[in-house]
Amino acid sequence: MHLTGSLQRPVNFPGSSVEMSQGRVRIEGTELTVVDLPGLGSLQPISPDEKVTIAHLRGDDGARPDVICAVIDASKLSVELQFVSELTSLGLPMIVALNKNDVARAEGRCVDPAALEAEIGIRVIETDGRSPRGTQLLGQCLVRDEPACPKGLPRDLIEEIADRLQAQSEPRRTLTTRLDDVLLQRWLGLPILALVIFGMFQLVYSGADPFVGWVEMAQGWLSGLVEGGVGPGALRSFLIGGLINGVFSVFVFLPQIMLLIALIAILEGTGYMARAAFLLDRTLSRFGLSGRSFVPLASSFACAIPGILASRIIDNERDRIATIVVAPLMSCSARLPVYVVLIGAFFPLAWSGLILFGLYALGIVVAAAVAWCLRRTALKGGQSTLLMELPTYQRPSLRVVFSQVWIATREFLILAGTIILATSVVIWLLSYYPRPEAIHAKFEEQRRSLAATVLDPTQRNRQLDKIAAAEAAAFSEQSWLAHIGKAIQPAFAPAGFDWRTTIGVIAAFPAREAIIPTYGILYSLGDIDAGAYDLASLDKPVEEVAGLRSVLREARRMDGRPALNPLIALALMVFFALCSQCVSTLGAIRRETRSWRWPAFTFGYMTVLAWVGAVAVYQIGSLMGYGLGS
Amino acid sequence: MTGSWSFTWQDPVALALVALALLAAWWLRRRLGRGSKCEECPAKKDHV
Repeated sequence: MHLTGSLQRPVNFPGSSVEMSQGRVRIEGTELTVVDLPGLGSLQPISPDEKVTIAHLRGDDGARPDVICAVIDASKLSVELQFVSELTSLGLPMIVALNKNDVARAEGRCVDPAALEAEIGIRVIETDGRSPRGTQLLGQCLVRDEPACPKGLPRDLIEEIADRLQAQSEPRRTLTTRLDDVLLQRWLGLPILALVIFGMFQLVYSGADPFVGWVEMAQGWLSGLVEGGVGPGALRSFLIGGLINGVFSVFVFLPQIMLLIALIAILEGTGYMARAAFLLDRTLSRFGLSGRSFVPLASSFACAIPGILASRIIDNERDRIATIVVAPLMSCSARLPVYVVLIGAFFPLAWSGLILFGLYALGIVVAAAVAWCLRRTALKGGQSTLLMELPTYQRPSLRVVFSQVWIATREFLILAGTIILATSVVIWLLSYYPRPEAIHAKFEEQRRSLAATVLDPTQRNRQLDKIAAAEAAAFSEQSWLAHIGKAIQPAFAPAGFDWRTTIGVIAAFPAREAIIPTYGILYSLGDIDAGAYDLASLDKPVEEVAGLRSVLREARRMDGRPALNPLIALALMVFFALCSQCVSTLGAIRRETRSWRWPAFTFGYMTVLAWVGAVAVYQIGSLMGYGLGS
Repeated sequence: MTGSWSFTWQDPVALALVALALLAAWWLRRRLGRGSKCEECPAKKDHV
């Protein structure tokens, strides 16, 4: 990362890099191609990512490297030198980058690079993965010194060399060992892990909540501006409903996504994620997965795609496929906007963290159950054991955290500006047209009769607003979108969804977040029941509603019952927690399993589970008296 | 469904904006989607 200046994803646990990536850098006029390979422990590959590295080092892919730069961990010198010794057998020029010497120093086992160089006969440069220190010298050595092919490094001498270089002082009891005594303690480890994850969700929700209010206010202000400048009609409706409510409503969630990604990057950077894998190994093995599955599954909380690719660190093919198939059940950041809107609209703030935690936990529990079933049926076979190196705890690099947040932000903005914009525009078009003259004429007639009978301007304006809302609702109820929604709605009726929510669910299949602008558009076009429109009710003031959350609380169906209530919101969130609504994820599964069978299976089982989950929540809740009633 | 539609001068402008927004979204996806969509995420890395 520091050598080429490109953004990579360095985290503090093994298995984070599963594929080759390359960057180009010009040093003193010479252009170098730097290839980053997945880490190895020996030249005997076990998992798919290790096979990629060995194939490249041996030149099986047609491009043998000119120089190997072996990045070794100074705090595990003897183990790392064993591997360097193996690498010398490849007969390639080599240079050693001595990393994590600060950790070795803290343990009282600092390595002198010059002494190490003299002992092993290979050029050694001290580097620091968290900063550019040593990178310039490393680059200069690569172009100036022309590293030589090392002579063999006898394996029986390695322990002796490591002892000579590191035995100057007694190993100290480090912060890592002291922390691990508590964090990996038999009875404390798992409760602490649960607390950390719960705290993370509470922080994601409450930390970004004020920002949501500000963005909603800004959205209201912009809509007001358009209302002031453009008269009623298609253009005003498109600008407010299609553009402002559509795209703007998803921007509200940017702070939550940024906070979630930052917290995950911090946990990865500290080395705690590797402990979480260790802590959960026994639990995961009960469900037919290995502790190694935790790394891809944890990555999937940010986005399922890198999670699915990270499954390459799992050597057992059946474990790997089971992990890939359940990874999309981990609630990714795309689900967050849906949760935030619905929790904010229907549940008290004090419950928000708990409900969010529950939805994430639901994904984990269902993933475990699906993995358990798969490993006893379609993927029956032996299990792998966890052999994982626990990294030293370290301060996460701010550069890495910022880069992760920036990547997520850029991705989100691109998604909002492309797929979500297009979905919003199409949804607006289908929900605004057709515009039958008969409906317009009926409401024009009512406007004329009102002008003749009500003389007080304040009262007249208030009543005109109500007529306009009822007219918009009448148009909306006979729109193309309403016809589509009402045709599909019976399938979702057992979950309590009305036609608008059904359309939201369908619009969310290419990208989950699309349900938010869909709601924004559908409810901005009228949330008052046109059928129950009645001149007698015109004396009551129009509800002053601002922001999507308030609109969702106030929305009514044609029969006057609420469009959504806490139970339907919960059923909808369960649907989103379990449903496979991301085309890119299915593409990644196809790529990793080299078959259409697994993405088709994933889409099928998740959609069925989501429907069953939502129906179960609504039906059980209704039996307990929380439903809409009839 | 119904007979005539109620149209004003705003309808053709809004429909033109719809077409423009769809074109812009498609163009942006082509333009930005290639260089981004996680060049850091292994799915779209510069494969060797």
